[in-house]
Amino acid sequence: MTRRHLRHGLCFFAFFLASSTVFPQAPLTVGPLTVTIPRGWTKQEFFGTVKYYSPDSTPQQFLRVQFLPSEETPQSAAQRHSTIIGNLAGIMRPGTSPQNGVTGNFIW
Amino acid sequence: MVWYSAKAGSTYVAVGLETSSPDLLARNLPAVNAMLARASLKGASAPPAVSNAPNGNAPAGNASGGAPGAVGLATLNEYVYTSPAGWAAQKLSDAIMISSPPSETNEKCLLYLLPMRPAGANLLQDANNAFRDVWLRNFVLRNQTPAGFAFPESIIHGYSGQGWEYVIIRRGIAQPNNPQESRLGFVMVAKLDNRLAVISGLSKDPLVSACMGENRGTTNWPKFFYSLSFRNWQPGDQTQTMRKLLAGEWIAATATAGDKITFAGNGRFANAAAAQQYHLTPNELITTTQAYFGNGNYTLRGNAITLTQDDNRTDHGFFRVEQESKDEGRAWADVLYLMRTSSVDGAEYELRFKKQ
Repeated sequence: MTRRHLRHGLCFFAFFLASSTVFPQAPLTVGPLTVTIPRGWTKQEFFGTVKYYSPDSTPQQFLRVQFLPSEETPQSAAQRHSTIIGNLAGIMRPGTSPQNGVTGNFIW
Repeated sequence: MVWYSAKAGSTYVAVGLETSSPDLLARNLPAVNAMLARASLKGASAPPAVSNAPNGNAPAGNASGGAPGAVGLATLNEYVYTSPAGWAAQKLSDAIMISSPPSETNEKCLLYLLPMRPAGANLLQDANNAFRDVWLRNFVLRNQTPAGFAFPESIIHGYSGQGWEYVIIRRGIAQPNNPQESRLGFVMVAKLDNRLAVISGLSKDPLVSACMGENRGTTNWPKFFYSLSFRNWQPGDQTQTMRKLLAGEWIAATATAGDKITFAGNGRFANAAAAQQYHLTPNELITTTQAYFGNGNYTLRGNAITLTQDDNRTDHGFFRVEQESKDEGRAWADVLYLMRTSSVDGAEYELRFKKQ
């Protein structure tokens, strides 16, 4: 291995160390909800809506999670969920069918 | 897009996930789900005081975060399904309940997804045990419908296109103090290696049910079944297994000449007219790969089937092959269900075929 190879190798190792020692972010609280955002996600705030972009998002393709302001409603979570899904139905790709499930306290 | 909803007291909380790339979704969804599974929701930490689930089961084991092999409450997170249109899903303290809107006859059908439990050595016994645990703590067996007919009780055994084996037990049940108001209760157990996914349901007699009416074309079960999958379960390629199950001559219960279809193990199929050119035994249909030409190709992907005729007309649908017993397992009949979309009005319809 030449000295040049060794220098490049050390630089890469230092870069890898720097990028992998990002600490987990502080907990995010939105209304009654508190979550710990995974490390490496990038925050963007816009008029009360907090968005986080995945570490592998680029200007060309993205994955983002947005935390909406909480709201008071007499409806159950399932009813409110159905209403919103109904409103979103127009943007569904034709030929796809929705899936459902439960994650922790959330239905999806 | 994935939309997550939760409620803490009267406060509704929503989290939306948007992406422009399926690859990014596949890479990041586990992290997002893990984040939300661990999220704390002030005012929602205590489960509902009263469960509407029929079983009233204690969790089958310690929740362990939905890891492969886990049993217990956390495994409710592993069910992935599509609720029938208009039905509402609700998380109870010990189940996920999916309920139909009340019908004109005031019928409400219910589906429950229950915590996974360890599998035993015999899937039929597991299904009987699950039926007992789910229904027979608060209900009694009742083999007559409110109209006085016999319930279509049965035991069903099959393999999903996702690769899991399942057994369904269907029996008439009623509350002890109201035996006239009987319903059809069922339990399905799906074997996921060393554990069982358990799904139960309740409806009126399938002859009259508005939401599980098998002969009325109103049943929501097939689409729900085809949508069902499990996190932590790797389906693998089931094509050869499912081809063997499909191989044979099938005739629809409402038999006309056009309702006959023959599948061969070599990926060819024939409708009634084309099948008349061949006189093969069922064994040949499975094992003879070159003799059978039929009049089209079929391809399988999970529970989905694509029928492509040699003139390139294509038909997409879903299928399942089951063995059904109506006498407590003494005699079994092979049954094929084929769900397709009508080219006339776009409606989905399912045909039930019996093996000849």
